[in-house]
Amino acid sequence: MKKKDLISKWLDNNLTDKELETFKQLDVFSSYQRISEAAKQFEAPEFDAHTSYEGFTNQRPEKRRSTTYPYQRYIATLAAALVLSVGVYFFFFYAQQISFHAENADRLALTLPDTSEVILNADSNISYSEKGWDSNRELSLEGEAYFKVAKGAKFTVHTSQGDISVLGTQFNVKNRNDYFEVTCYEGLVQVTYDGKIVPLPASNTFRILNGVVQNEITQLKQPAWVHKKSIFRSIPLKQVLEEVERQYNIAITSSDIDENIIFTGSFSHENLETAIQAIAIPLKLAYTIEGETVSLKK
Amino acid sequence: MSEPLFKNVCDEQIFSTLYKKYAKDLHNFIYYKFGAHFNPEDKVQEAFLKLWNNCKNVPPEKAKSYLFTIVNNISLNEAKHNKVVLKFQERKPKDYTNESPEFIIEEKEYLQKYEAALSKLSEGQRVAFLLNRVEGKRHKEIAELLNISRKAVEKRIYTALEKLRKEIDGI
Repeated sequence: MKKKDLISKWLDNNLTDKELETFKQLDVFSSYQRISEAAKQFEAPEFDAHTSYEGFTNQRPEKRRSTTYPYQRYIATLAAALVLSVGVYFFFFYAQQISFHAENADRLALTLPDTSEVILNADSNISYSEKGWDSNRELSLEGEAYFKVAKGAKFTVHTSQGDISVLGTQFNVKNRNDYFEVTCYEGLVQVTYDGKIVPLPASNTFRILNGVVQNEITQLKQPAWVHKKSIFRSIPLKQVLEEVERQYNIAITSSDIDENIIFTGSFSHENLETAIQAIAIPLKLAYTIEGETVSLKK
Repeated sequence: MSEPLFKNVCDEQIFSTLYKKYAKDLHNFIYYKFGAHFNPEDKVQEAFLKLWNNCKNVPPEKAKSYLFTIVNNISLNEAKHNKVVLKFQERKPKDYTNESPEFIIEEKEYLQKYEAALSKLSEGQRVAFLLNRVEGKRHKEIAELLNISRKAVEKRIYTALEKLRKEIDGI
């Protein structure tokens, strides 16, 4: 091996034991060794990103600024007092449980203390305790959420219908009335349901619909709702309509329709009328939209 | 390839993650490139402020290059005519010592020569060399940070080492 390559490999900490021996025989070895050692004395001064970030947020201008009127300040004071007292209540009685809620027609992206990412779908709720999070990554979920878990200790999601545990991966959990669905997008997750443990590899969906277990393969790389779309394959109309209600914060009446018909299709979260058409037209239903109510008829 | 979860970096969570991920690298990059005579932390905060004000136009995967370009430009304006000086950290005197006074003086002279030799390197060579030797970064990591090829990093570090040796050993 050429001398230059040998030196470059040494600089990249990439020498085999044998090569290292050859390297040590070079006439320039001791000079290099000393230069390398002494370089450490030119180290940049201490820099702590966390403290620096705090300093940064203090001097950073706020994104939105509005003019305040005296009565607004009065209300703000009252609101602050209310928030504070609620906060104190939760602080003492709930051992620092932190919870997040996404309203109907809304979505919420969060980063957990270990940099795991969570996106909550409409009308969903997660809570966890921040204390000891690093060693004990557990949270509770109501509704639907997409998780991108950072590598680390076991990560567990508790739901009313079953538990999901992983080490580091991407998956989606949908926990609604009579409906429980877990889809793994990367890695391997473990679903605990009714005392049974089911391993779920990437691109697989585990679903329990009215107590019946179904397995399915998915081609998607992320849940469709993250991209403002809902996709259904052979799902009862009831579940589909509930999802529309959540995404648009509306009420749907469908009294004379059999809600157990199986529906396959998708709807977008961006326009209510197109969404309703996407469901009504294939099922040959008539629809009327009045404000926040939609009625479906045969 | 999975789709990005976020279109830009306006989200507070994303932004703070970026800060904690890149601030130290930016800080050290500026320090090694331009020396100790101005405060690199100010430059880092200034660069992030620019990113914050412009967050709508920057997707997360572009944020790293954006930050390095900005921090470099800000510093260039200021550093234009100054000679680069990297101060070596004086080692704490030991309570006990079996080092002879000659050794201590010799060591100090060595570091002074070193300091002079470092300031004669090109900026690119110095940054790559110090990130490698001081921060212990692999060639690949440095290539990703500086957005240049691994081969170029290898060449810069090797040349820097050779130049330092010639300068210090007085050949």
